[in-house]
Amino acid sequence: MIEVKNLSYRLKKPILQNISFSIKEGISVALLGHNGSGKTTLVKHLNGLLKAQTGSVSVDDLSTDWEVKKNVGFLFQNPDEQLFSSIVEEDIAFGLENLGEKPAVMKAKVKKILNSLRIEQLAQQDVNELSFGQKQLVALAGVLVMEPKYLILDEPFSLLDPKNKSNLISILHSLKTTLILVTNNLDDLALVEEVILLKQGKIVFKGKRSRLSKQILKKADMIG
Amino acid sequence: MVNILQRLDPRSKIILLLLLSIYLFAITSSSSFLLLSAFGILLLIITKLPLGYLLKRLFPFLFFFVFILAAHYANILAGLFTIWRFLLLVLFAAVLLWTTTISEMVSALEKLLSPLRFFVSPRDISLMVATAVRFIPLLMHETSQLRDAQKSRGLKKWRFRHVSQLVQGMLKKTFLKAGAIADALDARCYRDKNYTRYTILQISYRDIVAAFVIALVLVIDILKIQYL
Ligand SMILES: Nc1ncnc2c1ncn2[C@@H]1O[C@H](COP(=O)(O)OP(=O)(O)OP(=O)(O)O)[C@@H](O)[C@H]1O
Ligand SMILES: [Mg+2]
Repeated sequence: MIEVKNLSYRLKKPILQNISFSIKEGISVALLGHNGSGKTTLVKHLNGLLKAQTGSVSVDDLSTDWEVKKNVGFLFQNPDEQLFSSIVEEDIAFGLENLGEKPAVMKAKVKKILNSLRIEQLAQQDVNELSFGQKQLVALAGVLVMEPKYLILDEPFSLLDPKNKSNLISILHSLKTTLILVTNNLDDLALVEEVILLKQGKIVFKGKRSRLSKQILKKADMIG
Repeated sequence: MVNILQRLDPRSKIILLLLLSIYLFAITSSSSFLLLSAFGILLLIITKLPLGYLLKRLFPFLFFFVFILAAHYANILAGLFTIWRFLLLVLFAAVLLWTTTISEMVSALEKLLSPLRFFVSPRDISLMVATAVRFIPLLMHETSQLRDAQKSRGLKKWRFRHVSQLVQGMLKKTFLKAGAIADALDARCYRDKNYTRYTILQISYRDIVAAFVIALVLVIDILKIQYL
């Protein structure tokens, strides 16, 4: 379980204010909110990229930052900023190298993830020569191969064309990982059971997706 | 077809070609030049390195060559020898680049730096090189996008403030990107201790044969000097 208690964060102005919620393993959540509502800032707290200024964030009672990062995977919006190696399979293995896996284990895991995302033909390719959709899948593979319990996806579809988007959606449906999906698109909610709705750094709704009403969405500036 | 040089360990390629290049600066007689050139041409044939690839590497040096000739105005022959040296040097470097992938180079660099691990972190340095190789083309691409954006807003004549705009825009982008990359590295648990490597470098009998061949070339050249 990921537990956020009274989390606040401010830079020049308050960005997150007194946020509390919990995410149970196995129950996927969407983090919904208008541009600048603080979604990215919030999820960066969930895997330790940002430290709580006030309040607290805990993940499965893990004590070190490193363990938290290992258990909470993070797929960023732009795949170009998260691929470091020039060869696809080596990039996918990057996280495993940091976990200190044995080479034979790494080979097997990389192969398995390539197969399950149906990108085995890309294994030896130059990352710079991939299409955008392919890059996003390689980036996802690099996160999933570490077998995180939770997977944060920060607007993963926003730069994809419809075909690549529906491919990624069907892949996400097949995952057993608990998803934490950041989005400002109401159509994406089909992937999750629960919703947390943010407006200007505050939670205006949290609960089952089915309980989300037009009124609440309107109040959060999500629909006109 | 994979050639023998592609199957060598990148570390031995780097070291052997480095050795050859250093030797290149010790030779003076034309027979030595001929011997090393013959060896260079042999390498070209073995690796099937396209001449276009080689010429492309040579092109930036053309100006430099003219400059050398001018500097050796009084002794054109010495100037020609110097140019010959650089030609061979570029040839050896091209052979190395042609037969070695970037990731092999990075892994080799990391291993070769490991004796210095008490002073610098080999993984940090190799990561730096790898990210530079990957991200510099991206940044160049973005620079040209930014320039296009300026042009599309009607920029015809470049003035200082336009250049300054461009530079500021790129600096901002670069810093933002650097921050994003740092986050992405962190999120994938990057550390420079207790890590393992996916690509394993291994010295094989081929590397020993290669070392032997290079040694042979050098010994022949040295003996030839003494006995001729
Ligand atoms: N490094 C920073 N420095 C200053 N302000 C920042 C910084 N990062 C975020 N902010 C501000 O914090 C607020 C929330 O930003 P955040 O990126 O978390 O929003 P978001 O919900 O992810 O938005 P988007 O939908 O555009 O991705 C914004 O008003 C933004 O301007
Ligand atoms: Mg965001």
